[in-house]
Amino acid sequence: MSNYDPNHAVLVRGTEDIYWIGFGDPNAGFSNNPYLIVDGDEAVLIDPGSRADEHYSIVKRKVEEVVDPKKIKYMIVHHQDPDLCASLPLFEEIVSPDVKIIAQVRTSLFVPYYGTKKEVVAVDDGDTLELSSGRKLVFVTTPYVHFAGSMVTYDTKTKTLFSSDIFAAFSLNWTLYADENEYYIEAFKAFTEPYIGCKKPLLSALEKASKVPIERICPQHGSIIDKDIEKYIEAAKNLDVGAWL
Amino acid sequence: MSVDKKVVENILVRSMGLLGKQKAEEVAKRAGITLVPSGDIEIEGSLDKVLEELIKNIVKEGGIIAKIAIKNMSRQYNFSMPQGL
Repeated sequence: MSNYDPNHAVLVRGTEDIYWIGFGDPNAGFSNNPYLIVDGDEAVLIDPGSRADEHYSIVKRKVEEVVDPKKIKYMIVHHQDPDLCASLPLFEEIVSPDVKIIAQVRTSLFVPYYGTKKEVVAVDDGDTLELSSGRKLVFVTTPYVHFAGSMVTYDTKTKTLFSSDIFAAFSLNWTLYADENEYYIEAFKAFTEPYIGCKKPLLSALEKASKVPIERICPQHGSIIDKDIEKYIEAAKNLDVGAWL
Repeated sequence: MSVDKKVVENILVRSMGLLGKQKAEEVAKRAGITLVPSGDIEIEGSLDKVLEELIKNIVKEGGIIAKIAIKNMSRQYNFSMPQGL
């Protein structure tokens, strides 16, 4: 068992500057996992999450534990679901006044419907965000997994894949790291199989993931995967999806 | 429902992911399932009745996430959800 306190921001194992700032939601039975990258004087907030008071207050507090929110120059959202995006207008009020919201082009259309005021930068497959330090975040589209405009983000410095809902899980027995839950693959199936319509988009996304070295996968729900990554990718290939058709 | 024992096993394993192993074992016991050391399961009484009780108990413990997951399995394995779920 790793030594961490989920009531506070947690430095992601094996990294020096990526923080898990999420929370378990016992009413819903799953976790929500926004992440914060702190890179020198810049910070990047990934999938900031819900605007419900009981959720936003936790994520905001955890951000403030780690960094002055004014240092957040970018907010990345991997698709437009409210559990990723709804707090964007609230964060706009406390982050850098020059903040840019980044979303895949087909998602960017919908983000302003949350009431955001800042510019939404529309990106597409292979586009890169280069931070002042030279660190590169690469955006990789994963169309139809599970939304048309879904994407994931790959941090070239730490070889971290921020995978959004891919590799996410439903579990009342939540742990921050997947290797602490011997049934994580079953929890992963419980979330992923009902929410993906067909195999082709899933295999396309996994094929893209196979082209880069990955040291950890940070999903938006569930647990961080940083051991036996191939085992989870193989499990993903074998998911039985589309049962609700 | 007329299901295969294998379906019950699969639901039980999925419930370990949803609820955690300990809670899933408690739920299985309440439904009339005994886990034997070989990893197999023994079922007391009607398979259909045990499945119904197992599903009700998993959803009772797991709430909406369990309902979604088990409904998905009902479509994958072609069994009916208990009345009211």
